[in-house]
Amino acid sequence: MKSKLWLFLVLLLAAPLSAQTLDFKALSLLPLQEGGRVKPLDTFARESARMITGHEKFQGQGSMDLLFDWLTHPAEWNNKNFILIENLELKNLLSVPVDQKFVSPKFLIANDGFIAYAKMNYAKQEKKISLNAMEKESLTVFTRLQRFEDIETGKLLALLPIPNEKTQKWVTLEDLQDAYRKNPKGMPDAIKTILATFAQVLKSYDAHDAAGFASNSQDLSMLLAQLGTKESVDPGKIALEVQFNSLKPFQWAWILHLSAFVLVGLSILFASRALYVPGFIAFLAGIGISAYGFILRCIIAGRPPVSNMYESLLWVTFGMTVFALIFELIYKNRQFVAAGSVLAVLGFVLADNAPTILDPSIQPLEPVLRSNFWLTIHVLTITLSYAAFLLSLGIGHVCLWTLWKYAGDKERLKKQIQLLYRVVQVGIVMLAAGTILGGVWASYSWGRFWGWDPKETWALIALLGYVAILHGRLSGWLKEKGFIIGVVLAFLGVLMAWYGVNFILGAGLHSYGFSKGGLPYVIGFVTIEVILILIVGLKPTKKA
Amino acid sequence: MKKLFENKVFKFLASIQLALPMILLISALLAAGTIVESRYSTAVAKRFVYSTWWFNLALLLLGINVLCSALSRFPWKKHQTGFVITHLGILIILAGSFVTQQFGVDGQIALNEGETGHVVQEEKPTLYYQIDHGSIEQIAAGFEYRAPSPEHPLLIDLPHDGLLMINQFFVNAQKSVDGRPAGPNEKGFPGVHVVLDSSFVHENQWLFLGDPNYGHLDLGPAAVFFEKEADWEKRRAKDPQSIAPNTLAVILTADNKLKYQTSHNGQFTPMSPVTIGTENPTGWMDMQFKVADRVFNAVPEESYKPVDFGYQKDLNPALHYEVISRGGRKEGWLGFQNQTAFMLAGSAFELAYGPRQLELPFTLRLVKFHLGLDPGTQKAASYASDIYYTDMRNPGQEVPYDISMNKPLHHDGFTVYQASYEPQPDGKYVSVFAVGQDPGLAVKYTGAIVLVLGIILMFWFKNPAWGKKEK
Repeated sequence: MKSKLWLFLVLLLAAPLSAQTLDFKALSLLPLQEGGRVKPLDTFARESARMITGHEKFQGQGSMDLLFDWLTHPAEWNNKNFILIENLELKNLLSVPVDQKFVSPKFLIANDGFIAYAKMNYAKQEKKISLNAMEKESLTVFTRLQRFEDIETGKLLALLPIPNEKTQKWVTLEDLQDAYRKNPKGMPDAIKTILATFAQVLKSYDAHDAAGFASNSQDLSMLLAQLGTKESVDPGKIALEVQFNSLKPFQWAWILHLSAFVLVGLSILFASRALYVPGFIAFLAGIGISAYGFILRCIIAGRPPVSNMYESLLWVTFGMTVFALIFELIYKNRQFVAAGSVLAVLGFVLADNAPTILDPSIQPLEPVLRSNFWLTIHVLTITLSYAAFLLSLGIGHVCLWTLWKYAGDKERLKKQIQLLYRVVQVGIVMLAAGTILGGVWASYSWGRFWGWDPKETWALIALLGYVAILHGRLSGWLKEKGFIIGVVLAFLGVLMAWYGVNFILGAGLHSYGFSKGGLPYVIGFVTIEVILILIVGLKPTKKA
Repeated sequence: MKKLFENKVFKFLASIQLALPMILLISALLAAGTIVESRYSTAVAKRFVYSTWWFNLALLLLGINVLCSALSRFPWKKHQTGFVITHLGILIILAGSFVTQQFGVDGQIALNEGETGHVVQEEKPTLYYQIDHGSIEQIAAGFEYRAPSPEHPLLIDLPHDGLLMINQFFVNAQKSVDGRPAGPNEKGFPGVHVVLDSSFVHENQWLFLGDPNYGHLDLGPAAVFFEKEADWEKRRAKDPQSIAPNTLAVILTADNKLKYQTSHNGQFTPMSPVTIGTENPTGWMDMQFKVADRVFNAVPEESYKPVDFGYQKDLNPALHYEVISRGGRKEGWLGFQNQTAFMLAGSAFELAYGPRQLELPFTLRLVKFHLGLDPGTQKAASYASDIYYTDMRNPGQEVPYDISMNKPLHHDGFTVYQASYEPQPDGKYVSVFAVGQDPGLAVKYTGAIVLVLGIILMFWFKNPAWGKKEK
C-alpha cells in the first residue's frame, strides 16, 4: 500500500511538469556565430545569462529558457531588475540601494547621465587611458545592458550560416527583419519561412505548448542546417560542446576529489588500508575526468587551455593533482593525495562558482599569443611551477599540522620536511626555467628579453622568495619551523605573480589576461594563512 | 689568493649574511616598482625605479656577492658543482643585461602605407639644436640622475662665445593655454573660456575662434565649437548628424555678441544669448556649461607646469631654455615632441626636444598593412606588413619581406618586429615596428641555460650540508 502511494505521488507531480517542461535540445544545438567563433546556441545562452545576471540560472530559469523568455517577452524584461550591478560607488552614483543586486534595462536607459558616463569611459579606454574600478564597472554594466538589447533586437543572433564575403560575418535575425522591412517582396521564400518559423517557436514558447515547441524548434533547426556548408559548421563539434556544457567535468572533478579527501583523510586517521584504496581510486577518477574536460576544451577551442585566469586556475589545479600522484607513487606517502585532493576541491570549486570574476567562456586568442611554440612551452612551464608550489602549500600545511600535533617527534618532522623540500625544488626549477623561457618568447615576439614588466618582475620576486628560504635554511637562520612557515608564506609571491598582477595591479604588457574582482576572497585566504601561521608559530616548542 | 679569501671585506661580500638581505631588499624594490607601475605607468616605474642609480647599484652589489661567494669556495669540491654552475649562470645573465643596457637599441619606427623610412626613435629624451642650418647637435635631456635648475643649470657652449642654458626641467609637465589680450602688433583671435560641469565630468578650456589647434573641444560623445555665426550655419546645414551626437556651439554674431546653441541627436535648441559667468544646461549628459571669460582679441599663451603622474601612458617632460648669443638673449619653454625656431642677433636657431633618433643602415618601405579579424568581429586576429628593405650600401636593390606578429625581420644585426598599428581616417594604416639590437642576448641565453642546468644539478646531488649548520 505504502509503495503504491509513493508511485501515485510521483505520477501526480510528474504529470503537470511534463506538460509544461519545454525541450530545448534541438534549439541548444543551433550553431551561432559570436565573438569570432561558431558555438552552439546553448553556449551563447549560458554566456549571456552569466554575463548579464552573473549566473547561468536566474531565479530558477535555466539559460536557454531565459534566452527565449527575453525574446518572447521583451517588454516585461525591460522593467525587470536582472542586470547585475556590483560596484558600491556606482550604485551610490545611480542611487541604487546597496543591497539591491540587479537593475532593470529601463532604469539604465532612462539615466542619460549614466549612458553618457559609460560612453565617455569607453572613449577613454579606446585612448588607452586606464580606468578606475567605478569607471570599469560602468562599462561592464553598460555592456550587460547592450548585450540584452542586442539579443532582443536579434543583432547578436547570427544564426544563418551565410558568411559575408569580406567580413565572414553570418547573417543575423536583425538583418533579416531589416531586409524584410525594406523590401518584403524581394525576400526569398526560404528566408521568409525561417522568420515565420522562428516566430512560431516564440509563440509556442509563450503558450507553454511543449509539443508545438518541440516540432517548431525541430523545423527551425532543419531550415537553418540547410543553409550551412561543411566549412562553416561542424555539427560534431557543436554537439561535443553542448555535451561539454551539460557534463560539467570540472564539477565532477571536485566532487570526486572531495570524496577522495574524505576517504584518504579517514584512512590516515584510522591507519586503514580499506579506506585508502577507494580514496585513491576516487583521486585517480578526479584526475581522469578533469583530463577529459581539458581534452574536450582543447578540441572545442583548438588551442591549449591556458589563456585566462579561469583556464589557468583549472590547469594549475589539475597539474597539482598530477604532481601529487607522481610524488605519491614515488614516496608512497598518503599525505600527497590528502593534500592534493583538498586543494583540488578548493581550486575546482572556485573556478566553478565565480563566473563574473573567472570567465569560463571560450574566446579566440590575442594575436600575439597565436601559433607560437615558445609561448606554449613558456606558459606550460610557468603554470606547472605554480602547480608544484600549490602542492608545496598543501604539504606545508601538513607539516604545520605535524608541528602542532607531534612537536616532539623530530624524526617524523624531518622526513616530512624532506618531502616538502623535494616539491619546492621541482617548483623552483620550473619557475626559473619558465621565467627565462618567457624572456626567450618576449625576445622573439616583442624584441626584448627582459623589460621589468610586472608579470615577469613578480615571477622573479616569487622565485627570489623561495631562493631566500633556501639561503635562510643554509645559513641556519631558518630552523625547521621557519622553513615550513617560509614555504607557506612564499606562496603569496606566486599568488601575486599569478593572480595579483592581472587582477590587482592590472598593468603592463600581459594585458590580455587582465580582469577584476575576487580580491575579498584572496584577502580572506591570506588572512587565514597568517592566523594559522601565527597560531602554529607562536606555540612554544616542547623540548624532547 | 689566499690572502684575499681571508680579507674581512671579501669575506663579508662573499657571505650568505649579505646574500639573504640582498635577495629580500631586491625583492622589495621590485615589488615597489610594480606598484608604482600600477599606480602610474610603465614610463614612471622605469624612470623612478628601474633606471635609477640605486637600483642598478643594488643589482651590482648582488652580482659582487654572487661572484665572491662562488670564488670563496675555491678550490671547488665535487658536491659543489651545482652550486658553482648556478651562481655562474646568474653572473652571466647579469653581465648580458649590462651589455644590453649599454649597447642595445630598443626603438620604434612608424610607417604609413607607401612610406619609406630609416630613422628609429628611442625612448631616451634628447634635445637637438642647429645654428644657421649647420650640423645638428644633440644632448641627452632625460636628466634621470639630476635635473637642471636655475641654481644648477646645464650649460652648453655655442660657437662665437654663445651659450645654451637649460635652467629648468619638469619630468612631467602639462601645457596650459590661457587667453592673453594681444599686444599692439600681435595677431590675435576672439577667445572664450568655456567650463563644462556635471556630476560625472568637469572640463574647462579656452577656445580661440579660427585657431587651428584650439578651435574646438572633443569629448568623445560630445563636441564644443566656437565659430562665427555664418560658419556654424554652414556646418549645421552640411549634415547635422555627423557633427557629434551632442554639441554645444558658442557663436560669435556679426555684431560681436555671443550666443549659444546646443543639439542632442540632431535636434537643435533655439539660439540664446550668452551671459558671462552664468550656467546654462546643455541638454545632454546632464551637463551645465558657462562661458567664464571672454577676450575680444586674444593670443593663446602656452606655459608648462609640473603635474602629478596621472594614468597617462607616457611622461611629458618639458624644459626651459635660454640662449645667449652675440648680446642677444632668448628664453622659453619646450615641451616633449615640440620644436621652436627663432632669429637671434642675425643667426637662425632651431631647437627640437623629443625621442632620440637613430639612423638604421637600411631603409624600410611599407607597401601594405594587413589586419586580420576574427570572423564576424572587429577583433584583431593577426597583424602583418608587406615591406621592402634596401641596404644603404646597395641602393636600388629592394628585397621583399613579410613581417608579422611572431615573425620579425633580421637584417644587419637589427631585428624589426611588428608591434602595433594605427588606423587612419582615410582607411589606410600606419604600421608600427619595434626595432631592436641586443648584443647581450646570446650572453643572456647562455647564462640562462647554465643557470637552469646548475639548479637541476644542485638539487639532484643534494647539498650534504642540508639540515646541518654550514661551517
